[in-house]
Amino acid sequence: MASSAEIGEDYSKSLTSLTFNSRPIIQNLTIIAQENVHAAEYIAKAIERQIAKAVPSQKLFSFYLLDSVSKNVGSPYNILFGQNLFKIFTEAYVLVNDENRKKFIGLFKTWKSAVTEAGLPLFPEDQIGQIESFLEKATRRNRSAPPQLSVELLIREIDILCQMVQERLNKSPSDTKAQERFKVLMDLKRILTTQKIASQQLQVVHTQLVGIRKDETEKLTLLKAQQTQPQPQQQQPQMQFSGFPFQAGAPLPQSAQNRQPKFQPPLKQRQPAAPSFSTNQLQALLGARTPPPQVPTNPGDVSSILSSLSQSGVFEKLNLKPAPVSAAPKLDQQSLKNLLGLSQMDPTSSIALSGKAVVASEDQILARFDLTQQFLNSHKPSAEEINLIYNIKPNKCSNCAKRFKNTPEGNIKQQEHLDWHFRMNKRLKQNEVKTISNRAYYLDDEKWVNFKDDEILGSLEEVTTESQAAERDGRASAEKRDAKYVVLPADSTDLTTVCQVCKEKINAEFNDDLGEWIWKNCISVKDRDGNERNYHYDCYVETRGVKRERSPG
Amino acid sequence: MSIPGLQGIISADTLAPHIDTSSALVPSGSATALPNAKTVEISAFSEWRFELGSSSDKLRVRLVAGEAEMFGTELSSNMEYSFTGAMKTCIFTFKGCTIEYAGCELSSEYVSDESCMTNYLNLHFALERLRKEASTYNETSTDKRLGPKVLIVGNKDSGKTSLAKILTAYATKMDRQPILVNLDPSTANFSIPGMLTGTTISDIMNVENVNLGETITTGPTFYHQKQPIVKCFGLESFSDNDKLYKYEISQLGISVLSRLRNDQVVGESGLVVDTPAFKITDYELIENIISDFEIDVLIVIGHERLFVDLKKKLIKPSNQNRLTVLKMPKSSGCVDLDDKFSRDLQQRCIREYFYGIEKQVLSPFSIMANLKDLIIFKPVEPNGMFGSSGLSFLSGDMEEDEDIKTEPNAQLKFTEYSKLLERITEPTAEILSNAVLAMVNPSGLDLNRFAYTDDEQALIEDTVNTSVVGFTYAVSVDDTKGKARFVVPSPANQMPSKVLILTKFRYHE
Ligand SMILES: [Zn+2]
Ligand SMILES: [Zn+2]
Repeated sequence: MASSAEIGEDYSKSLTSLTFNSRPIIQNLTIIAQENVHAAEYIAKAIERQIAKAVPSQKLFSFYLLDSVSKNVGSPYNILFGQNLFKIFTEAYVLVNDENRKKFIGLFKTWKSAVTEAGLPLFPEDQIGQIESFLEKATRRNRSAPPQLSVELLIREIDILCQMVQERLNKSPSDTKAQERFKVLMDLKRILTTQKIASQQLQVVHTQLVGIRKDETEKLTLLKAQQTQPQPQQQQPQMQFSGFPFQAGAPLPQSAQNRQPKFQPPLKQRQPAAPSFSTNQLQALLGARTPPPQVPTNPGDVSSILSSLSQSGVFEKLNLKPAPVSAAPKLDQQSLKNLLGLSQMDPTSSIALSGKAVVASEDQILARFDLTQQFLNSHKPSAEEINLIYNIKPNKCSNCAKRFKNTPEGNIKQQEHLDWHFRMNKRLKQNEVKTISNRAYYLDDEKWVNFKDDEILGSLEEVTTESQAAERDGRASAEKRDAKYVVLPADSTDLTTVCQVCKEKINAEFNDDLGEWIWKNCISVKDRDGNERNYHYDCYVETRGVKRERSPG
Repeated sequence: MSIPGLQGIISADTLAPHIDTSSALVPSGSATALPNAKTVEISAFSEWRFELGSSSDKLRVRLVAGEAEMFGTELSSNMEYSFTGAMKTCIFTFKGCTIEYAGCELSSEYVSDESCMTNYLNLHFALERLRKEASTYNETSTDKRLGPKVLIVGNKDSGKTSLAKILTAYATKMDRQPILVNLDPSTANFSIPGMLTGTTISDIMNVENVNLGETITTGPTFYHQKQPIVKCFGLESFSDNDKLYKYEISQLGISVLSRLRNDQVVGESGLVVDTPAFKITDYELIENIISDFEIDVLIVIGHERLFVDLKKKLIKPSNQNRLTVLKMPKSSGCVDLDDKFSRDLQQRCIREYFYGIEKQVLSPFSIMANLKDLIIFKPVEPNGMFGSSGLSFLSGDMEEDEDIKTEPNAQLKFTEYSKLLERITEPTAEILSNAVLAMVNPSGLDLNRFAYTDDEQALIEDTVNTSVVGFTYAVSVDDTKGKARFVVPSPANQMPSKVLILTKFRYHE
């Protein structure tokens, strides 16, 4: 049995996976907190530390965890967090961007009315009061402040543009102009995440991006108009297109069906209307003193990429020229703060860059490797090359050793992978008590030749073997859901049960093969109090057990 | 209860899944320090070689710092790994790492900087370049180019399997899905020994499992499961019946190449073929494999003579541009494994097929069958002491034998199927007890035709052309009643296939 301190340490390690908004991670971490209440003090400390040390763009996720643990587990976590809530909240608030601030405020609003099981306020009223008056001042003073351009905003815009170009490339892969634009956008992103950029330059970049956005939107509209017939692969790019994990704090799509293509409105309209406040002003408000570190700027890189942008013809059509860049631009506090946060966000690009403006691409590195005896014997792989099987994918799964790229597609893959762990962990847990596992039969040649490993890898809930088994027994695969049944508990006196989603009655029937009474098309899931709850299988799959009526906010 | 930002409200019911830090089933979010652990520091480009001496040994290993890998598969610092039973293995690091271990005494352990991993990594990147080139070509072209198809040959215990694992694991790291083919019947690959298999490796491999990771089960697993295609050879050494061996290799080749052509991701990833210890006298066999799998890269490990000879024989004007022959050094970590070690490993693979591994226990099912309802074949053993056709072989079947050797790709004549399999007309307790049998996939068999025509040759033809659906072993045989109790992987009312192939392997519980 691990000591409380050790549990805290472990917990701290698993918190590093909270680099994006993930329901499964937060749920898992909540459960671990619940199961280790004896180590609550250490776990709460670990969460507080994580909030303090997370980069600003990721602080919110740890806050969601704090919220989840406090509300779902309750005592002693809400008491522990309650002691320092004002400090934890405000210190994070001043560091995050406007969009996140809105989310912080949203979160705070739920605390004002939240109560414990005993009906007491979730957090101490004095702490809540302090935060409220802080937020009041912060938002009131700021109403008229002009919208701020931040590096993060630009990166998000670049990501959206990359998706758009990617979609175009999916349809016409040989479009070299589009390939080039994609590459330049990636380069620009890399520079923005690793170099310090003056606000004037941000403005220049922004102007360019707005131009590209206009151009891309037109091109895409044109492309779509040309394609009168629906393409079979169309579903996929759309999914990728709309799942923007980069949008910090945005709700993640719950299922593929929910993922509808949604274009982001142009930057201007997206400027946050409410709480925008410079970090300095806020820190003054708090009486904090940490002066922003002085970072020497290197204006050359952005201007050089911008000029290469126009040279490479990417901006040709737009007829836009990068504005001249002043020699020693002054950084404003806001962008500096943002930069500090963002430069830590993508460790690979900063490691890989190591001073150079543009790194060798994967293709360029691979082009060095010749399949000749002499090369294979003599070449000593460099760190940059070794990184192709390691750090090029900086995001590690917290459950296994799998790695993911820090790109929109990489994040989607990671999300799918985590969902898979989540489902498997859940089934493994159920498995301990219930179902019996068997080795599945091998496929025949024809089925194997047509098998797609994606069936095992993620997006699909059930693997082929189950339907295979069904087919072998001569059952049609449409009857698959009949395989979902719950055997009546031995102590059950009632032959009917009620679906927790649609509230319909489910009647038991006797199954000859099993020699048991079963509820057909039904699954049973334990709730957090350990009570078995039954659902129609379809209802459960559709809603994941969430009751349809939801309270707002 | 609410978790803002997560699309409103999550009901309590969905909170059922657990990550239980104390559960043996599910690796926890992060591994805790091991009690009474020893620590080993491995410097960059070095490997820690360690050996577990007895079958009851169980070693717990944790990556404390740095980055480390086993046969190309990265270790996670969030997990505790456990290794059970006699084994000789190693952990390698490109960047340096600290490992902590506990649980049992190691019969040997040391850090060596004599690693071949830089050569292997170079090879991987050179292959990856070919995959990239194939993908790029396919983007604009209607005909589809395949990724590199690699064949690895070398002496016994020269590290062929390790290299095959490393190359597939690295390819998987780069989001490829190569097919790993095992043609060594003395070892098992996602199957039991005696089989020839092809498996698409689409995800991280399980380094704890001697069988390379689990094949698909009906239950949940911690690792993504693998889906192999399995052809039955049934004997331990390819020389025990080289006709059957060649025949099943070309059957496997057909399916594997179809898969490559059918699935663009897999096709561009290519394949890696692992083999038993071939000598230069097995040259024709190697040439068969090269043509059956359209091999374009041949790697010879640690055997200068074989490399030179093969190069001489294989690089002809006709295939100059199609085949690259390369040699790779043999790792000094490769050790000769004795027979007992191999047998223990074989037993363990069979056990894992039926009963799973510690982290995922499986429940096979036992079933009573009338032996007269089953058709049981066994591989012919022309060189064997007791094989019935051994006699005909001795009595001068040599000439015909030669014909086939010089025409490796010739279709077998109708009557020659009798050289591949023979029917066991009277299956007795002596033959069947504890024997492991391959069940032939019923989808490839025409038992109605057999019932009417009694044409055994045609049934053998079907059987050798069909893949294995699963395995069974006989726990008890009652000669007087003509019945036997078989263990099958999952519940069934009757035997999943009426046609079985008796393998040379026996399983003792
Ligand atoms: Zn994972
Ligand atoms: Zn229902």
